[in-house]
Amino acid sequence: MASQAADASTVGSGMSRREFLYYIWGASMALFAAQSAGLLVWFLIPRFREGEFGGTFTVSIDDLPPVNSEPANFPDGRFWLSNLDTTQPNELMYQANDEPNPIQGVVAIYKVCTHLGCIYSWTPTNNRFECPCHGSKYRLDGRRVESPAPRTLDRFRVAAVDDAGTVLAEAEIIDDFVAPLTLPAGTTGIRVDTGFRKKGPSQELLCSFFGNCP
Amino acid sequence: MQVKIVIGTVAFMLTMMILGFAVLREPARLAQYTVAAKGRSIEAGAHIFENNCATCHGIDGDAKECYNSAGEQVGCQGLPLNDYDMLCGDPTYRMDTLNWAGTKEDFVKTTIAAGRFGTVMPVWSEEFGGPMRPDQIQNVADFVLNWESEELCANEPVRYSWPEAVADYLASDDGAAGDAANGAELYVTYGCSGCHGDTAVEGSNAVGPWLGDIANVGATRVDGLDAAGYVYHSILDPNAFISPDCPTGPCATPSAMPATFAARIGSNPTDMADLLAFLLGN
Amino acid sequence: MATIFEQIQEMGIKQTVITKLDETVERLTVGMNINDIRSALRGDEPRRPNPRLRPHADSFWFHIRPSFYHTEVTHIYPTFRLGWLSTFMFVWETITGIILMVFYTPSPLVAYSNMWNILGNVPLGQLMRNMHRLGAEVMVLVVALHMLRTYITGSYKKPRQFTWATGVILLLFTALLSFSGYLLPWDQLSYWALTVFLSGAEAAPTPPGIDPDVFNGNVLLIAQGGPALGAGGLLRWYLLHVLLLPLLTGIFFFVHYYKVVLYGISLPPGREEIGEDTAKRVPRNERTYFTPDIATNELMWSALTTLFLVAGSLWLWDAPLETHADPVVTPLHVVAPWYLSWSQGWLKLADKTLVIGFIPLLLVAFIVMPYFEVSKSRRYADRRIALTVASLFFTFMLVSNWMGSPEFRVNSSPDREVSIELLPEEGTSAMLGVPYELMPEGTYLPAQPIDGNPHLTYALEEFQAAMYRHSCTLTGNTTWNECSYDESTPIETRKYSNHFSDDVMPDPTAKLIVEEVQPGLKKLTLQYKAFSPANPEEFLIDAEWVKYRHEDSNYETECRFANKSC
Repeated sequence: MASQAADASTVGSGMSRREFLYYIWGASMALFAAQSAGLLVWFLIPRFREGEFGGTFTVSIDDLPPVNSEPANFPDGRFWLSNLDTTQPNELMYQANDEPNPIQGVVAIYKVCTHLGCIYSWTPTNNRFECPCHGSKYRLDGRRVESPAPRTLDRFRVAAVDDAGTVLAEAEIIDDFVAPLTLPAGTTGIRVDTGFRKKGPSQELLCSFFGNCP
Repeated sequence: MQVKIVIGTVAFMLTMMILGFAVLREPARLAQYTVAAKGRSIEAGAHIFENNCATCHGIDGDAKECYNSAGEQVGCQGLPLNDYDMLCGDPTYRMDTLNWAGTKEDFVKTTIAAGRFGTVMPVWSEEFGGPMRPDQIQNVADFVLNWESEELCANEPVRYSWPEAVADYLASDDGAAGDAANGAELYVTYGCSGCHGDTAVEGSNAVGPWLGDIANVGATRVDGLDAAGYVYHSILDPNAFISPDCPTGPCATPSAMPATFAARIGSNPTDMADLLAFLLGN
Repeated sequence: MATIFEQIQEMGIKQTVITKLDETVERLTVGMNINDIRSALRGDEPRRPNPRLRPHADSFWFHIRPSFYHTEVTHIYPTFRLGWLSTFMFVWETITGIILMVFYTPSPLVAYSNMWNILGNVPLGQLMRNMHRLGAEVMVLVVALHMLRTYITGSYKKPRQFTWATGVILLLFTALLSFSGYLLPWDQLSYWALTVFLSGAEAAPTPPGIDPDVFNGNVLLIAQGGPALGAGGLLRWYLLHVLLLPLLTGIFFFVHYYKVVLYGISLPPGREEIGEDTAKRVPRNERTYFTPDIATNELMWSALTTLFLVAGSLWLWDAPLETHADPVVTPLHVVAPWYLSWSQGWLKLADKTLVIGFIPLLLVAFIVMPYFEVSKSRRYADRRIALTVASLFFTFMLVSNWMGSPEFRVNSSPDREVSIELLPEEGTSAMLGVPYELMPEGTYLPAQPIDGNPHLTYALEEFQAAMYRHSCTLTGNTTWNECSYDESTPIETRKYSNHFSDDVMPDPTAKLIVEEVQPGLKKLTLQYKAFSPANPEEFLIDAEWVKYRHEDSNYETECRFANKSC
């Protein structure tokens, strides 16, 4: 309809100064709107003070679970600690077909399901993490056993410290993911940095190796 | 058209009747939901109590039967909550002794939220660095206050006032005749052996100091107190002195020993003399 | 102009009062005096010039409504009154919502206790909440059906494409309005439904060149008001629910309705050519005037809908209220509200980034559809493909809904599944619904008959039935399924740690223990034991589930609505 209203002679003629000024004004209004929108987004993003979740947590070695046994829950730091060793496999922790090297050491696993943000928990009778929302299941080290989760559970970086707080060893980052940390002798505590989280990779489902995926 | 007018009128009249019916049953329904809210709060509180509080206050809240996370029975470190002093009367005995001027519910809530300074009772409220939300504290308070019953409050317990000095106690009728054999039995039934171990076997103490040699050691601890006085005051107020002899070095402050013995032994005051006779006789 | 005294002298007091009253009425109605109103009520023909048309030109409220409809659209078919009903529900929700706001504070500290206050301490508070909640569900349903109807009758075609586009946006706003209200009770149901919804949105595809972690992370922060839903998030969703979304819905409603009036409600498919202007050129004999016919009709439907909503809120269903929201404990089997169930179904079908990206695409496709679907006829016979596509899509949505429903859910460990059926964390069940005094202390076995206590007997039968569903047998007990058990499978190829191909308990024993732990408070414990087939000394399952039951907790009343014969 607009095209009918604007007849050919108007469209064809050159731009007057006044018309040009209107366009400039329009453009400035559009820029102002865009700037305001940007500032509004900034205004709306919450900010965090130091010392909230996102800082470091030091866990005594006494609170670390024994090798390949049920993980320990740390609700304040929103993580689970697991102690892994696939050279002595049991029902909780074992080496899968596509894992060439033994998995040994301590991992701190973020306690939010990678699927839709629910809080999963350890199910002792099934020896794995299970999410109550949509049934994603994970092995002791956080690797997926069953979907719908898209990837392995996220991990925080851990470090082994002694009584004086000296860092004896720090978890390596391999393929942009936190590798398990083998504790050196003399370790008395484990420091978990909840500000340093790496997203889990999309490894193959463990159940697919055994052909028992639902 | 006339049909529509009739339908509309009938519909409004029916709606009015339904609302009238709702109004008639409303007072009963309101009462039902008011108690239901309380009931559900108590249920939630029971879960929290079982998981967090029962380790120190006992599974029945009377500080008699406590289990640690591994399921082993341990000495109860908390005060009894399912208890006359805690729940009966307004103000209750405990509110009186602490000069608490507010309500009973506030007393319980404040104690849970902020803990009890100088004892092993920790803070629970998120506000003070604990793990619980305000509604959870309310739940636990509702649960604790639900122990109050006519049966519990029917008989006020006899309160024994312990003499200031052990000599006065030993000179009184209650303290005059200590029976060491009975004391040895009481040492087990009061649960002392759970932490202090067998007095005959050095090193059998699990948490607290070994008491086999307390007759000698006790006299050296505090100036102006003999061994009897040292033991007497330590039982009545575990925080009076902190022993340097726990299995892992000096004992922790505040003391892990329950503060309930003054009241428990107080219901049978001759037991103190028996215990002293047993411990000091060794 | 004669003064009032001159008028009284001239006509007498009575006549003056009548004249003044008549004038006042005429001013208020903008054109109709008492006689005109009475003639409309009587159903007489209007005088000339027709005074019933003047308000549609001069008054604010009446100018929004057309002065007459085409008679064809005043029947139930083809509109089914769905558009009108949607508007009615919006007004209904606004009124009940504003009343509820009086008793609600959007803070995690008090929101949940506010809900119990509304239920237990506000006269007719539960009815008001039920009306608001039932109204919300009805509104989503009605708006969706309105869209379906518009598609089936081909009413989105020229010149009504833009009306359709605004309608799609209104459907989106309706769903968002309903969903944003979901969080406000701050119970487990609402908290986790929204958390799941928002985490889904976190996976949305981002424009190329933008890091999805940063972009979506910040979107999530804005939507949640923090790293997880909390005080900030509740306030944001409350403001969305009571302010921003109603405002936007109102604006789009008026645009939508302006177009409806401008082009007229579409006639049945056979009666109207594409592009024909049926709103303005209505033959005199096919006009149905707003006053009094349409107005009467709408008033009647208002009365009937009100009746249904009030009665439904009282007897059909009680709005649920679960336990207080707990950000660190997700309850088992979180379910989306029914009108989002399809998206849960989709999430089980495909990767979530794909699904979340698909939903806005679908919306855009809906909005632009009338500009591309330009077939020349609205007759059903000429729209076979369009109608087939619609029914296929509708079937797909129904299947997706079913897939997203709890029946399709994923199971937890067998003992926990039995526990959840009998003593759920939230809501009621056959066992919780047993009246308090009919649950004496003791230990009970599944299916144990209790003399003179049909409630407990029934609960124990349910216990047995649930155990059967989650157990198997190695000893040839005929009532249970045979266990498929293979001890030789290596550790890593077992699906379940118990050597079974199914997640079941082998020959389990179970019991219910009832203890009174406080005056008026009973502890119900379910205990399960199953021995390991490999080693009869070792427990394969040794689990316990505890639920407390207070005398006054009112689970019996909840049973009434849970469709359970407790």
